[in-house]
Amino acid sequence: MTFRIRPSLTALIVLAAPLPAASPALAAPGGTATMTGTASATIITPITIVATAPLRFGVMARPTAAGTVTVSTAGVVTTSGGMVGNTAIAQGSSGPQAGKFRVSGEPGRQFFVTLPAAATVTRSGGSMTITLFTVGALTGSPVGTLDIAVGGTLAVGAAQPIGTYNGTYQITASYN
Amino acid sequence: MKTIILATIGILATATPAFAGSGNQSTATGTATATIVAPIVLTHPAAASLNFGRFTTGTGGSVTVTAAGVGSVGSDVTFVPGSTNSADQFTVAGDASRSFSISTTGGNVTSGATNLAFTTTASAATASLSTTGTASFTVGGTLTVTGTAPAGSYTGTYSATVTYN
Repeated sequence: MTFRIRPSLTALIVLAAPLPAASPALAAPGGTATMTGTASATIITPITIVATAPLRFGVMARPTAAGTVTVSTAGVVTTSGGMVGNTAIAQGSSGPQAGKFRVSGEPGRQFFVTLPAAATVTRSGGSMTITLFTVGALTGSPVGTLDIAVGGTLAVGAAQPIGTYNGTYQITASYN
Repeated sequence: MKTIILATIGILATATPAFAGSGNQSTATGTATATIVAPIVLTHPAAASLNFGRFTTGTGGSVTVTAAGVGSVGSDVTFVPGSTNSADQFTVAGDASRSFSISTTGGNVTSGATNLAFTTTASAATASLSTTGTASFTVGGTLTVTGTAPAGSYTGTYSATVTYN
């Protein structure tokens, strides 16, 4: 008796280990059957976006007629209306440039960004509106990041008060 | 490979910090700046002019007036006694301390059917507005005098342009 029971106990222990891991029906006699389902979870790096450079429209003389100044995602300036030819001013460190952001997240993951329809830059006694935001991807971003550039169009009034205008705009990056 | 779907305009309303916790979305605040400066304004005092003086042509030559207003003659041209010369003057107003460039054209002075050509030279090619946003400059020139030019009072115009640098 004793010798027969011991081997039996040992065998049960060995079998117990595979059971939770998905063996096909080890069914004891009778009406039960076990099948294995699968479950998985993948944790990916959260997406983050950080501003790295301001969107600058530069220094311009007050126009005699209303016009616009557009900075492209490449930082190229174009003008319309009363602003035509009005941006050839020594800019120093405040020259036009595209806004820049760095998006970080899971390598290879697709995302999209949203921008407002309009934003405002203000100074005491005056404001100007930025519209037509544009977004472009920059090259050379490290793995798991993508640097993006933001352009926009600034509307300058004919009697725009002189001064430096500052403002902010929100940009949101979302996994697709 | 990374791809980006370009901006969907007008969804700002959803871009609130409340989403920060999900990890599927992140919002940053970008800054934007623009600077408007005073337009540059060039003014010519009515009393100022580039005056080449009174002279006899002889067989022809030239009259030069420096930007400081000092006249001299070349070749056979001779100032008559009492002749005076003056450089032209302009004033500039604009953005304080900002640099600007000056350009001037040549022109012709005319009497009857006779034109005499002149060139101009500004006192500086570039200058800076003062801390109160003002500046001034003068313009001299050289008039080419033909030996056949009839006596008379010759007048003409030229253009001066200032541009922010």
